[in-house]
Amino acid sequence: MKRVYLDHSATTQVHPEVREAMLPFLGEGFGNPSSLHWFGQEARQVVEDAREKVAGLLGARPEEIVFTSGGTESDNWVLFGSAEAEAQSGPSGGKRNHLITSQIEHHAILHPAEILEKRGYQVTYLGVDRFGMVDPGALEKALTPRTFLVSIMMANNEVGTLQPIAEIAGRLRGKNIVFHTDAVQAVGKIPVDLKKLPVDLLSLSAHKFYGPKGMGVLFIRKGTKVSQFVHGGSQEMNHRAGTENVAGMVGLARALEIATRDLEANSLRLRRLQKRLEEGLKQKIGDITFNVHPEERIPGLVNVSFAYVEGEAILLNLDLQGIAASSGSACTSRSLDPSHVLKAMGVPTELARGSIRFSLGRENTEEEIDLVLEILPGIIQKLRDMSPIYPAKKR
Amino acid sequence: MPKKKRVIVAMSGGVDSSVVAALLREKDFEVVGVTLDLRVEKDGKTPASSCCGLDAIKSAERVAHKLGIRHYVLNLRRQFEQTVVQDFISEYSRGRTPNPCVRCNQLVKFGNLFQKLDELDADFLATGHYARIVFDQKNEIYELFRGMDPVKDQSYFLWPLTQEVLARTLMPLGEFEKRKVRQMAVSYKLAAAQRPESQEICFVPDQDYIGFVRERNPEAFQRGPIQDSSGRRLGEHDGLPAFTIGQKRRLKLKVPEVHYVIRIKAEENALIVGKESDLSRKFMTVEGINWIRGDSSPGVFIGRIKIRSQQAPAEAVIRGFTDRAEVEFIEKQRAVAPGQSAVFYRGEEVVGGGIIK
Repeated sequence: MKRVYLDHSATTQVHPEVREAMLPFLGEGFGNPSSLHWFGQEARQVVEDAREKVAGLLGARPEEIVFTSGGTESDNWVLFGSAEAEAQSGPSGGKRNHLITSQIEHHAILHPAEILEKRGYQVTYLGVDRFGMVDPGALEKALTPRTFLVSIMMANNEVGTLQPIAEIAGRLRGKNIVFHTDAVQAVGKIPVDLKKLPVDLLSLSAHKFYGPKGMGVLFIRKGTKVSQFVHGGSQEMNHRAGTENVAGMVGLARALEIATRDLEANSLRLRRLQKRLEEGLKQKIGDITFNVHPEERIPGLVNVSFAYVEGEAILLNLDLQGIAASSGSACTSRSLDPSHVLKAMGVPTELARGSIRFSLGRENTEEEIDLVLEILPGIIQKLRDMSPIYPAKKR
Repeated sequence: MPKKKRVIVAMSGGVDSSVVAALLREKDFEVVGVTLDLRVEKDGKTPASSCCGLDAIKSAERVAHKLGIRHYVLNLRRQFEQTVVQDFISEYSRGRTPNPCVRCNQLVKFGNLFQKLDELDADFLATGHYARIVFDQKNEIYELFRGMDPVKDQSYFLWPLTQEVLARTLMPLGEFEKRKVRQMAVSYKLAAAQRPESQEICFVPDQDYIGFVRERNPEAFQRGPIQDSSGRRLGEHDGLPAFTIGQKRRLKLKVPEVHYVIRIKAEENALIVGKESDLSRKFMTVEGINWIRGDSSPGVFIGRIKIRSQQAPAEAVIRGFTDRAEVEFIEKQRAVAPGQSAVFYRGEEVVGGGIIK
């Protein structure tokens, strides 16, 4: 059976050039960068080269780039590390204890925020409009003298909506509030230049742009207060302990390099495929709604609701025919509740339950999109014919 | 080449359903494994290790991978909570003794899951139950029989199955003894399926069902009188859900003779106790009947009845009606508990079943 992979927001296949770049460090380049000897020195150089490369590609300084085990660690670090840094700052008793985030963040932000709430912190979860966008004005209104952190994602993982990060950063300027953006779904898909974008902290993850899993970065702008999160040795300029994943760092850097190099061409291609998919679905299937922003969106992500059917049933049927898609986030796709993102966008529960996310990637072809357009209408029709809530007059 | 028949195997991660998947794959079915996520929240958390917990899901995934078959986890937690757990609590709260496994079979496994067959273009549902489904070609009727292994036989839990369900259900293990199934698991190298036997009530892992009901429905525990059958007050109980018919523990009566619960009068919140001989009943009514052959009633017949899962069947004269059956035991039966399933057998065949009134 021909298999079609349309779940690139969950993860991607490592780019062949990335794998090539990594291989030496799974072989003879095995040294521990912290070691004094020659083996260690070589490895240390490789790590610093990777750091410089990443810094250069993002418009940052090398010392602002800290490698982590992925987006989730970076996000956890931001919340717990900023809270701790705030608690330790200055002698005064009136510590700031309020942070602002949004209802559509990934659980790597939401769950740490809930833990902080249990520890006595106040958290504001901003709502979004029907296209999944945070309102910077509402954010500004939510600020209090006790706000020490704002964390808003750059691109949403379920619907792909790009958030007005530059504008939010502008409104926070001069307020001594740390601004973090979870850019896991944005880096490698849209240009990110930290020279121009005044965020203090940024999370990214390699396996979302054809790099290896278990590899991420937290960008920490010079002067930003965030306490250490993983303690132990003095690796990563004393920011993050643990023997370096040398191959992973090389892979991340190479993947980011390729993604940046090919960004414009890939983006164009993905938009073309995305349009082909959307137009085809509109043409062939009735009663569908696209849960996407008309313009401000990452290329290649199509979130669509099919009325009267359950997303789970669609996904299983697609998979049985070799087509891999998902219903929102892979991390929560087994949970019962409809997506918290669609809920925040005001999508009715029945429609949210019938939603599917197709996320396209570099290896997808027009033929693959056409195969989906050939198979999916039959699945939807079959499921609707079985659905107790499908109106008789439409049958 | 004709298309292979697609069968959905309900996989719990244990030996039995794993062997079913292996057997059917050998028989040239296209096998798709499905594990139901039926986890019940306790204190806002979902426990990892219950029969339908995360351990079970992981084990089933390992087995499916080993067999090279597709496997999906279907989230039926909401349905399980609403149809099985809620009923369990409300039945105990009314002083009855429910049978959640029967209800789960009826409404979840052979209900919600069975309904998925068409959605997934599947021809059959297969389970690891020890019972046999036989097609009577002459009458074009599906019959249900006890499993060949008399100890493992699970037909008691399957009385609600309808003709529509039986026609599309496979229970290959009904032909085997458990010992043989274990051997097959070894020969299929299904080491992943070395899990303990499933517990009696999967969503009450420590089997403290009184505590479970108390947590979910504390109002059901009201103090009330303990009386003898003449209405004389002998003491006080601290809540009906803690008692079942035939129980002598926990009564704490200050009288010399041993007393047993012989009736639970939920409407008066009263426990009626008596001597052991008062426990035995000659007659009972069974409601909510399903006759396996699908006919309105089999009339009057002499058969054998099981009134709880761990009990040898008792002989009785059964007068079957469309919606109920009147039963006269040949020998008086001890502790007939309202809410439990009563299953009627003729020889090895399951004629039908229902709920004791």
